[in-house]
Amino acid sequence: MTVNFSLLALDQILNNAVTIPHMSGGQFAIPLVIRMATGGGRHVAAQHSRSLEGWYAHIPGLRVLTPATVEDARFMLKGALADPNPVIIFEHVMLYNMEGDFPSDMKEVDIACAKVRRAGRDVSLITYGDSLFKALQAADALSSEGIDAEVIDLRTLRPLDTKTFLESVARTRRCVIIDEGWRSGSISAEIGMRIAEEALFELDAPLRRVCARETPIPYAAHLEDACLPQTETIITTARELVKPS
Amino acid sequence: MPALGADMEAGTLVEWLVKPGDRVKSGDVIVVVETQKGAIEVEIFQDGVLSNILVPVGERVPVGTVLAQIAGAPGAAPPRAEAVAVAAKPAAPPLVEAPPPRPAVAPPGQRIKVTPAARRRAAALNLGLATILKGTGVEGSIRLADVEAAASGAKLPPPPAKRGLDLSEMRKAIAAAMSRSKREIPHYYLTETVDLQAAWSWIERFNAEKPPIERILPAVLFLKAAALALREQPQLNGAYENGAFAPSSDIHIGWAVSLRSGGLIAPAILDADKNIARPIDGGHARPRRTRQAREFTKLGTHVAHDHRHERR
Repeated sequence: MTVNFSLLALDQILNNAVTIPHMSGGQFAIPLVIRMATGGGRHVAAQHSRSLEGWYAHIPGLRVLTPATVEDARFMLKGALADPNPVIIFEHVMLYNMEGDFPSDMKEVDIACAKVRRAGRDVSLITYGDSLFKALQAADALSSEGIDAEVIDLRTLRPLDTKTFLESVARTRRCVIIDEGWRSGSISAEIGMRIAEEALFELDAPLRRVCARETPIPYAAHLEDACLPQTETIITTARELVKPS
Repeated sequence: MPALGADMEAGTLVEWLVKPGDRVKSGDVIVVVETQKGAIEVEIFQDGVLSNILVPVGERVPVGTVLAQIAGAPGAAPPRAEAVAVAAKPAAPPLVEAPPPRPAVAPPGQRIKVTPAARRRAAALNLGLATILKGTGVEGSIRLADVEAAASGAKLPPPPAKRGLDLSEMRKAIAAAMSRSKREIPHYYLTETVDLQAAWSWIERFNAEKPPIERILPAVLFLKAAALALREQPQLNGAYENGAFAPSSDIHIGWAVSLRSGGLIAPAILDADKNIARPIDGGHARPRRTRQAREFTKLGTHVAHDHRHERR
């Protein structure tokens, strides 16, 4: 099921699964795990291309996971199943065909922490899901220009691992947040605000975001590409922070 | 913290002349404040007992900050000036056009953009941000690298503000006030030729009998003439405030005076139309100190200026 059709079950998710453990005073646990496909890029038009993980991350009582790597896709489910509370796993549609190896002795991953996927000194690229790979590509391109970008994979949008990205921004002092959700009221807005609240005095440049254009995702490939965050946009946004033209 | 000049944004407390428990009455000088124009004595406008000093000596605070509290003043906790103004207004009459907002103290275009990290670093290095001419950050902002470069270029940080006159600060204040005046006030120019033979003869006769200290300069006659003209033409005496002309019933003429130590101030000759009946020593008396009572520099309702030097 894609996230687009989870809206039919929103009452069950929000009013029941999330609320019953709270309203029963903990007498009823709802150890529910929901896997949803999310995101755009497959040219399947507006109703099949939304990124609503930021919406769900608004809800207290839910854990919202966004695996991007092969090992996270493999092992986050295990951690989610062990959680006594409702968990939603958002799997980006463009990542289903990705192949990769993980260490044979790997048995689990944590489902609470963000990870630094690439260390850098000049600017932090904070993202999750499919945008992680666009950010990593952007970081490679930027390194050829002498800009050393750090890439943070959030991995979990709720609870948000604030500590990891605040420490990163304190090192690099510049930050671009990449989010396939719409910009207004997005998870990137939340991240930016937490940086403003807790790391303002570390900043050496304005906060920047690369988000989806605020429109239903178009069907036509070139229009869809223009609406979604792309590597080139990440590169120009980060470059403008580090080496303003 | 009162605004001791149109362009003042903040002031540094230099000295408290009263302490908590002291009885104060309206007109008492209670505190000395350091501004760009020098140390200025600030008087109080209420009677009462000083109950609490809120800002210690050495602290720099923005205009509008409550400096101290007075017990026994009407309205126990002194409300902010704005609050009084609002409360005193009758119910807002409808359909009256709101006065345009006051011009900002610093127009947005002039604001120096500094990143938070750069600002903190500059403060740690005791480096004045004004010394950094050009920022290389986003939108020309001053960023860390600019502060570090400026710090390595100028190893000696400027000394912290000390009591007394900072000439470069005064120059800055004069330049800012002069450019603002030229920028914001529509200018027009009138010239008139006047036969001064009678005035000159009078001055010579007047001075001939006087010891040097009592002699007057010709400029005093112009000041007197200006004051009398203002009495006849009150629409030239006052200021535009909040979009409306506020005429002044008193005639105080500001007069630019060079300081012996360098720099310039424009003290006002209070009630110039009455006080220059026998012209006083306004022409050549010079302030020896830069510490002035605040009304001295602030209350001018009109400014006279001697252009002779500019024409040479």
